[in-house]
Amino acid sequence: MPERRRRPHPVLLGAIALVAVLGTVALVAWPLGGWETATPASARVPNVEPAEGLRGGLLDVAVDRVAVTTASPDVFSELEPGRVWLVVDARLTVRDTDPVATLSYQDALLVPGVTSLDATVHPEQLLREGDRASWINPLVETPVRFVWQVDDAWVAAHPTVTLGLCGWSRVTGVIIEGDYWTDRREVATTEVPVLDLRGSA
Amino acid sequence: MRAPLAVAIVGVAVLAAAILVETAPSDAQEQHGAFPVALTEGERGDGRNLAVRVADPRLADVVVLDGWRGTTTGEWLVLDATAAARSSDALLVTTLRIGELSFAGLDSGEADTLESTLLEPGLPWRGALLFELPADAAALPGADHATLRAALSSDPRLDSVLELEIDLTTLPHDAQVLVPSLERTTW
Repeated sequence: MPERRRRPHPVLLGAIALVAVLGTVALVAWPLGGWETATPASARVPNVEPAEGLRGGLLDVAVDRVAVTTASPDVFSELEPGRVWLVVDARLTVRDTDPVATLSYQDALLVPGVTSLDATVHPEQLLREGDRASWINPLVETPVRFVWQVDDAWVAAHPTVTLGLCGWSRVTGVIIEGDYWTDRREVATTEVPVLDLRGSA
Repeated sequence: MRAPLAVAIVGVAVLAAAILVETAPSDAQEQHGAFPVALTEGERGDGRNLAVRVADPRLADVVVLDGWRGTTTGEWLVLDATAAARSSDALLVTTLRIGELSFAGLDSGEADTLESTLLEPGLPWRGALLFELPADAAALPGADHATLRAALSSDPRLDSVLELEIDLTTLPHDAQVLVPSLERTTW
């Protein structure tokens, strides 16, 4: 009488297959640093010295000064109660082949705790040599003053501030021709002291 | 006889379709690009809704226009121009192409350039066109055949664009240029 072989239980077969797959994947992942322990190079945001300038996007930004003040940056704007002006003087250089419009370069800097809603001095009022140009042409270093309103608590918490350079990708529309911006991300940061000019306003 | 005739008709149809496919515009620029109109320096050129005359291109470090003083870390390309619309009111939009780079004409409200003025049919304005360029723009690749483009929209597809070729490498370069004020003129 032939000996009858028992077939392994299906659950056991499944468990063996699972262990085999996980083992193989682990062997591949091990020399690569294991699971989620490696940061892709593209995800690392370089922190640079202020003198080096922020680079890596369509714009280079050299930050000259960051200050809080109660002095109005223009003759029209007024402070809301309990707030002060946060003023960043910088020089922008377009590294793309085409001009960058005001509506785009107004967002070139990312400031922690500050949103575009705080930019009560709006893009058309960004000061550029006392002027209001619609465009910055490629390769022309252009002084620009960014102005936001922040509250006193922000000032107390920020003797220094880490400014980020916003990178983005330019997409040219077809139906309505023009530039559109996608893939906004921080591409470099720099830490700058915040001058308190409230007493000298 | 019918079969050979049908084959001949189909053959002609296929041939016509092949010619159509081969000769029809294949890319976006050919399908709905602008219609370029070549300009000669100092002479009037006419597009669908725009007439322009451009003359006397030169480079400058500083431009003075009425009470406005234009400084830059680069340099200015300054041109005298006369422009009018031809059929309806419109604003002039200019760009300068140097190799792969594109530069927008100054349309600041602080400086009364030709580009900041509403053009009306048959009523020409004379004024300046200003381009803020990087320092030593004449050394950029393609500077010897830069192209000034004048249109009535930043999106001139399927409309005419007046084009003037400029050799930046041969232009005079002044420390300061006093630009005449915007004024009504005649052709």
